[in-house]
Amino acid sequence: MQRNVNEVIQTRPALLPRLMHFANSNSPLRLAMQSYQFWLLAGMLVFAGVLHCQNLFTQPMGQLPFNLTGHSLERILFLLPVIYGGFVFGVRGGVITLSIAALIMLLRAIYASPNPPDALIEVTAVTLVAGSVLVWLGGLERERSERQEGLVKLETARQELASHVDIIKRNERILATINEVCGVVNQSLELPDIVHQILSKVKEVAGAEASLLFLVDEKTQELELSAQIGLPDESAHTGIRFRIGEGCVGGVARSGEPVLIDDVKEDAKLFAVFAEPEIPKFMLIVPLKSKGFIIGCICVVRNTAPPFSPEDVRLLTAICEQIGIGIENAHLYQEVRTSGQKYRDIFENALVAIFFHDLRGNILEANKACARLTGYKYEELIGMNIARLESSVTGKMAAEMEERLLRGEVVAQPYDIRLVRKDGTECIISLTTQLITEKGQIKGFQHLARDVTERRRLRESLDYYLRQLLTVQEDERKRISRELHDETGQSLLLLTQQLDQLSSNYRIGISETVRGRLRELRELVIRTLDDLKQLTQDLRPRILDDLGLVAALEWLGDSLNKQYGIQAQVQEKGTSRPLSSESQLLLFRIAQEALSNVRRHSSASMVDVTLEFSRDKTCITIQDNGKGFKLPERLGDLAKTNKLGLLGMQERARLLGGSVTIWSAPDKGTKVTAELPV
Amino acid sequence: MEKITILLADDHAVLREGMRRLLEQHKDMVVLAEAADGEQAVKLVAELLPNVVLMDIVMPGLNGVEATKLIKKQNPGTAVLILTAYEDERYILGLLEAGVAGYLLKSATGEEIVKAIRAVHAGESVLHPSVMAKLLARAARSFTELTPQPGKSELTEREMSVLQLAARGMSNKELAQQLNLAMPTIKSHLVNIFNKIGVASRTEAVLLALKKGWVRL
Repeated sequence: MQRNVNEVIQTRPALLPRLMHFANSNSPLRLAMQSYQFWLLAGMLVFAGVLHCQNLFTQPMGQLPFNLTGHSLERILFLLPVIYGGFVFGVRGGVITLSIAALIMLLRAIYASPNPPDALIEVTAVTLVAGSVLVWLGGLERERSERQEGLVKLETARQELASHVDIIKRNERILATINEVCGVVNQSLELPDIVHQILSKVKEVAGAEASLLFLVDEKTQELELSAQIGLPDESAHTGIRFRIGEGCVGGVARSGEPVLIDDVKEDAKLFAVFAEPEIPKFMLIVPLKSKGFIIGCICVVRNTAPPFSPEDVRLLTAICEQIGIGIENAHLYQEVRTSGQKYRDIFENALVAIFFHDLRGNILEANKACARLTGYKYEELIGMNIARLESSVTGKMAAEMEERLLRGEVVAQPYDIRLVRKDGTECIISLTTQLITEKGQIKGFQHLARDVTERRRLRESLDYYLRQLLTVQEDERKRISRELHDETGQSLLLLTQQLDQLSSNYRIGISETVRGRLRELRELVIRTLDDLKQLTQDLRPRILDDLGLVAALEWLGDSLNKQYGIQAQVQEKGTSRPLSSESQLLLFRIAQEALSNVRRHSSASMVDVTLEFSRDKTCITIQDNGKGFKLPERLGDLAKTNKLGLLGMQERARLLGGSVTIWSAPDKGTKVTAELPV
Repeated sequence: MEKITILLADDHAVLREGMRRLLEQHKDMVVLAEAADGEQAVKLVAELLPNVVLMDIVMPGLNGVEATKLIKKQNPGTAVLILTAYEDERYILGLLEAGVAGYLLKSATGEEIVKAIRAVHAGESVLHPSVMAKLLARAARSFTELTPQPGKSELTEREMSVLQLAARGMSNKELAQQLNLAMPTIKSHLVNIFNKIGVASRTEAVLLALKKGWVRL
């Protein structure tokens, strides 16, 4: 104990450097030393220590209760600094203080106390008390630190929650916007409405100056600026196109990924869309998708800071994902409607009257031409029964036509029927009818009608003139024939007479040679007469006019017999009745033509001519057993096979309301039938 | 000698002229008059009662056929010879039905005409018998609808056989041979027949017999 301070210093040569080191370190002790509490504690300890050890200098105190001495009190006094140390510097501080205090007390108890065992007991007691207090303090401290920890954790949790709530709120906002936008999209199929509302919503939500919509044109693979809000000149910019892949917009359309642009000026073409004085700076382009395909882009533009944030991108992307389909539907709807409108226009404005009616005859739809044709207004036509448009004759015919179509028969179309207009006048229409089927069921009829009244009238005029022409032609032939025969023939006859008289007049003095010559000349004239007769017969056989059709037919047959060796037979069937000269002549001409063909082409040996009279028509049939010919597809082709004569006959028959039919097959002969109504 | 009295009917004056000159060359014929159209012909026949009328078939107004019918009605004893341009059977049949005694082509020679007139007057067939037969056969076919009248009228048996044989196309000569009679007898029989049944020519007689069913071919 009695150490020399110098010895201490010497035995601890490194103390000074240690102190120096200590002085510069950040150890807790050094830190503690910086506070006032430390010095206060130190002061208390020193005071208590001094007080306790003052025994060396002063008298002990009187008797205290519990047999305590003054020194006991002093020992108890040590509790104060220990507890204070514990409070201020925690358990560690308390323990250190206690240790110091205990040391002091122990030293005094062992070396200075008159009653060391009691003193030791007291020391121990005090130490224990102090210790337990310290333990208690420690416990408190732990509690406190735990509570502190708990508070810290709570705080962190609260912050986390707050940030989650933020996110949720943000998402909620996004959803609300999307909901609104979807609501807009679902409200109508009108593309301009939807687009306008979307663009303004997007502009609002994104806090932008302008929003633009680009839609993809499938055919040209280009993006077209279809609509915009916020640009100063509303109409000037729409129509600008970017190819897919061209520029920023094109790039987004190709990649399908949104893009943030910090300076729009970099894309010159895009920049050109915007007019002064609004100079755009920041742009966000988000793709629009529908069913996996990119159908366009939406751009939002801010002229000033701040630029668009990732959150803006998220929001806009989310919105665009939802509206893609809606926009595409509206777009398609518009297209369908335009084309639908186109078809509607074609229907409405067709020159031909078109109308439909159901199976009962109620008109379902009619176009303008139909209204014009019938004289009824559109409103009057719809729902009206077609019976009102039909004349009594038409009604039956139309009903018959429809029935045949329903049965699946092929009907000769177009067909002509009469139509009764609103004002009661009639017109003739050429009708083409079709069945309307829906899902395999027949729903009604569709008609295309053309007013052919004029055409018919013209045709009738034409027919009339044709008939006139033919009559004139025949009359001319007749006249020529007669004149030739009567005039020229007569003169020739006279000539023969004169020649005959000359040659047989023996009173005249002419030589035999001359007589012979005269007789020869007479023969020549007779032959000429015969030729003339033949000519006139061919032109117009007298027999037809003098003795009638049957006689004339027999005459034709006879000449075929005599001149060409073809056996010709003429029969009459039914009760004969007088025919008009026009009809007689026509039937004769037809037979003449047919027999001429038999003679020229058929190489037949037999031909039958039958004239049949029935109740409503007169019919002539010329049938041969010749080599026949292959009937051409179209009757017009007959002209090519040199059977033009019969075509002409058909036309003439038609003019009289009749018909000519030709049947033939190779090696099966030919049959020509002509019918004329009564 | 009794001349054959003739009436000429033709609308061509020149032809008539020629005809007259031709006929008047022959002593046994005399032209009583000329008519320029059917009506005049009928009138003149009624007035003058010629034996034979030589008539053109084509005439203005009443044509030859119509005039023939009228003449036959009024004067059955007059034979009508028609001049026609058409030889067609069908025309001829019509003529026969009208009551002509025969027909001639307009281009016939003078000789032929004279011969024909003489033949008619003699009760002979104007045409070649075979042609006649064919024609009559045709005529018969168209008469088959008519119900034959059983009555033979006033003809005697002899006359009937003459008629029947004549209908078969026999000439007078053949008739004489067949019936073992003289030509004049045959001729007079024929004249009687004609008078009794009211015809003026063989053709008409045969036709009538066919119509009435006295004769079957």
